[in-house]
Amino acid sequence: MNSRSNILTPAKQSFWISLKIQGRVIKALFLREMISHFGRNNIGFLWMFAEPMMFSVGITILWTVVGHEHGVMPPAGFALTGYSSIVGWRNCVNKTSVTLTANKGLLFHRNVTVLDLALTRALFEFSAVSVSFLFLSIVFIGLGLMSAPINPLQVLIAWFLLGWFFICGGLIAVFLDQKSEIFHRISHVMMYLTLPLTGAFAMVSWLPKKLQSTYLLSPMVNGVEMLREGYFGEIVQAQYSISFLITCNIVLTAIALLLLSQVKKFIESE
Amino acid sequence: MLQVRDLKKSYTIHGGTLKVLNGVNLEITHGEKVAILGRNGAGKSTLIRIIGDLEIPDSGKVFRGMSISWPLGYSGGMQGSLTGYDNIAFLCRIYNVDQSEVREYVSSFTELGHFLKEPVKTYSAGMRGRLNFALSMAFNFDCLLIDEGLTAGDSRFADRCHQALEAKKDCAILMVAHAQESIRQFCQKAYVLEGGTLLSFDSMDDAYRHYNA
Repeated sequence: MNSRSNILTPAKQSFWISLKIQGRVIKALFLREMISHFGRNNIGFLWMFAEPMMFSVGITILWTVVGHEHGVMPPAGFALTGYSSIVGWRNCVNKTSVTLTANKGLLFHRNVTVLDLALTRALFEFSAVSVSFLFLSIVFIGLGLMSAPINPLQVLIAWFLLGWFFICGGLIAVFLDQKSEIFHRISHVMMYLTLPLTGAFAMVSWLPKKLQSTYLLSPMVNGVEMLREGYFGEIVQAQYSISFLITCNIVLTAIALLLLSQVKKFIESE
Repeated sequence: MLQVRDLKKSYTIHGGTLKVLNGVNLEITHGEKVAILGRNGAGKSTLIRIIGDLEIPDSGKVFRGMSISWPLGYSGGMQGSLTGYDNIAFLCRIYNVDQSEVREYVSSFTELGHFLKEPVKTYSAGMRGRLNFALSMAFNFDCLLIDEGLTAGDSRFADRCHQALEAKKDCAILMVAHAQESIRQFCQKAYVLEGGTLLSFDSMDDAYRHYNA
């Protein structure tokens, strides 16, 4: 029926064939993720965007009403950039960390690896937040709550670098979740405690001079500063280092790949 | 050709270690149909899982010179929350095979009918085993790993499997099962897994004589 060469997976195969298989597997997993997450009932996979969106909208309304400190930025813009980043960070780590527990059965298929499962879930969560971010930006701009980004390219690059950071966090969380049960119990508290380090609540320039350099040691602060500068221009007095963020991302990627390659040795199978 | 060389695997239990496999050697050529006998906990499933690349051995090597199915059993390989058809679609994408052919083949082979539109978690063990086996047949693997999988279906389905396998002369089988009937139906050769090593026998009867002794 089907030609045999399609599925033959010998022990040693060239890098390109492996890459092709991995691409195919991740695509299949992504589609599967959409169906199994949201089913085909009611609004289906629109929940993918609706869920992070409700969060951002709620916070935006809250901050606008309460009058949270937002400097020269429009309150809606301040809340949207900050909360999209927080939701991205939180969802990529929390939701990716449990992916193996739910999808272990798929490891039965030799083409599917731990890395595939982790990467797909992390990409999935990041895409969901990205779409919600984009959609809300358009709505807010349309409603006149904020103006269009001053430097869209910078916004795009900053968001991409942030996403890279979130996904690394998600991959490492998969390892920790499998390594120790304790992680599962403390991860939500831990994520909550990282909130001040996300840079979403305050610009670096609002802090006392002495604290600023320490604050900038958080990679995510650099990303969020860059994102806000892209949106609102130089008046927000952003401080960040792109090279620092990229270096952190590369180091984290290496750590994540190394850790994930170990997971199969101690994973508890079905 | 599938070759297993000096496979060793132990698990940590209660602070000590349990040696499950202690130097297993095995060779399966194209079309060879082999059964592994052994008591509960002898390490049969562990061996199949290592061959299927689900677990990593402590030492030893598996040379996979042919395409090998995932271990077919009561569980695994499927996603419970997805429907039968969604599972088929997913596996087709993974194994890079045309979907429509496989859908047709699987639905006629399993006779599951409209159940294929229901989530797999609602299936009985027998239905799941049928779907699992039909899928592995659709993908034309060179070697099937069967971990109690075939015993799940009823006798009508077992006959179907038998016919399908007869038609594929060069499809090898490595099978673990307790039901003597199905082993004798599908396999020509049997090993006994005992004390962490595989004992080879000239005939099926010899293997059973040793196993039952």
